[in-house]
Amino acid sequence: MILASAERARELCERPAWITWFGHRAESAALGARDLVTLAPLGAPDGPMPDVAELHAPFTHQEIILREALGIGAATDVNPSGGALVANPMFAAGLARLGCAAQAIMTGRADRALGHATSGPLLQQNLVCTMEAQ
Amino acid sequence: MTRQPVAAAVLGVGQTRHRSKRTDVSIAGLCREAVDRALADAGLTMSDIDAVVVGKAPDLFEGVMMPELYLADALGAVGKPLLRVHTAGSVGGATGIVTANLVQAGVHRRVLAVAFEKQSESNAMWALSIAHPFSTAVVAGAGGYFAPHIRAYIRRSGAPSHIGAMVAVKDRRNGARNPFAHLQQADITLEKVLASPLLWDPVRYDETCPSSDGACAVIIGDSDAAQASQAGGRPVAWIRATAMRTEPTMFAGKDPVNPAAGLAAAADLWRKAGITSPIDEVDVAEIYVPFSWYEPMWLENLGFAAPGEGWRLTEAGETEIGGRIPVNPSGGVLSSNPIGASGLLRFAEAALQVMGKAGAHQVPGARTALGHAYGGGSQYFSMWVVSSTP
Repeated sequence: MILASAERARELCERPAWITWFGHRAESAALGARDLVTLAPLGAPDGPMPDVAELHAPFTHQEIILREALGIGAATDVNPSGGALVANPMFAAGLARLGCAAQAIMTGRADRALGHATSGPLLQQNLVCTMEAQ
Repeated sequence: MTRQPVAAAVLGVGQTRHRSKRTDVSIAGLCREAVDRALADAGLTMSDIDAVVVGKAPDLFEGVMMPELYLADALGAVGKPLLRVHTAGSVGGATGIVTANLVQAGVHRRVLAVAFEKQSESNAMWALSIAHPFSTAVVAGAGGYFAPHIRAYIRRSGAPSHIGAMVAVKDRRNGARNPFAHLQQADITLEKVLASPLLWDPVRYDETCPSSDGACAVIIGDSDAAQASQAGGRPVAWIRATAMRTEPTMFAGKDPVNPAAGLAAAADLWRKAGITSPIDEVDVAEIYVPFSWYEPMWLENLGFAAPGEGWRLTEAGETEIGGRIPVNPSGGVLSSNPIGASGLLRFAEAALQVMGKAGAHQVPGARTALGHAYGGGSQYFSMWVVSSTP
């Protein structure tokens, strides 16, 4: 994935995916330390729901937890790429989610997209990036 | 339009007492010891920290995969962004630079950098000897890899054979002034070093870094946070410039004695810091010297001396405290080597010097200092310049 400043992005890409927000939180790895079906609030900005969300959920229950934590409803197309359930090169799968979300905008399939990356069996790392077409 | 970076400064520094085996603490406890000292040094608490960056060398060095996940609680990172950095032996330096960048980019106000190694948990020699695809297996640890490059340096520069031993004596005596240093050898002599067993020609036992358990923590803040510290009577170290460069371990034309990536990083660093003559404008340098001969080699790579001339500074005593360019007054990597932390220790010790808090190993009047780290097969280089004024 190539990131650039606004000026360079306009030169390099016909329809760049503009990064509008980043949230990143670590969770405790201790099993008894927290309610495992909730996540620390990521402080996502208010605004319209994304057209596409690429959620890094290598196990099916994680997608349910993430949909709830991020407030993603039925209007959002979740993991049109197939997500980590169809390809999970572990340490690249998170970046792949952000890349797939960006591509949805760059190809005109979405105006707003969300990418999510995680690490650890208990969703201990959660990084969310929202993007939009300008 | 390019935005100007936010000014950033080191607000606090903490490190553990480095030892062969810290059996009194877990990896988490080791890190927490350094973190608590850094917070106390900065007069802050965990709630003042916006994000945590953790660095360590290969996971095989302890046999704990992705230790940052298990460390989230101990590092005070729960509910905050937690990043892991990994650039082999230079990782401590890279961790300091990533942390500085998060502040300079205006993303966070105060960020905690933590780097560690608990070498007693595993065997670094073994961990460094795995066969990588399409590469020559090292099979003899770091010393086996670096010794031929040292021999090439000696042949090229015509340096007399005792220079390495001189570096070892200086660094170990400096280490004896630093209560955190692993090796405390105030009585070491040139004769003793020269009489110690040859491990990898020309590197003798006493010219080699120890295997240490240890951690280092550094808190970096923006200019408002720095001014708040100063208003509370706490000195800060302003980060004037950072630079990082990388090259492959091996490629046709690689010069492992004077690597191109190190030269490029140094040029970028001095340019950003507005320094034209490093030896005249830098008061003290903490340079990553795991094997004694790397002092003259890196003095040249960094531009403190012309190629082939670095050993003359060492021989003339100019790298001692009181010399033209004191190198490793803390005792350096030759006195303490918790690998992942060693780079951040260099950066932190540079900061302590310009904060005037280096205690018995303080270089009098130090205002501008270099912190330096390298890693892998002389392929990752990271460095910063800190000053007592912005």
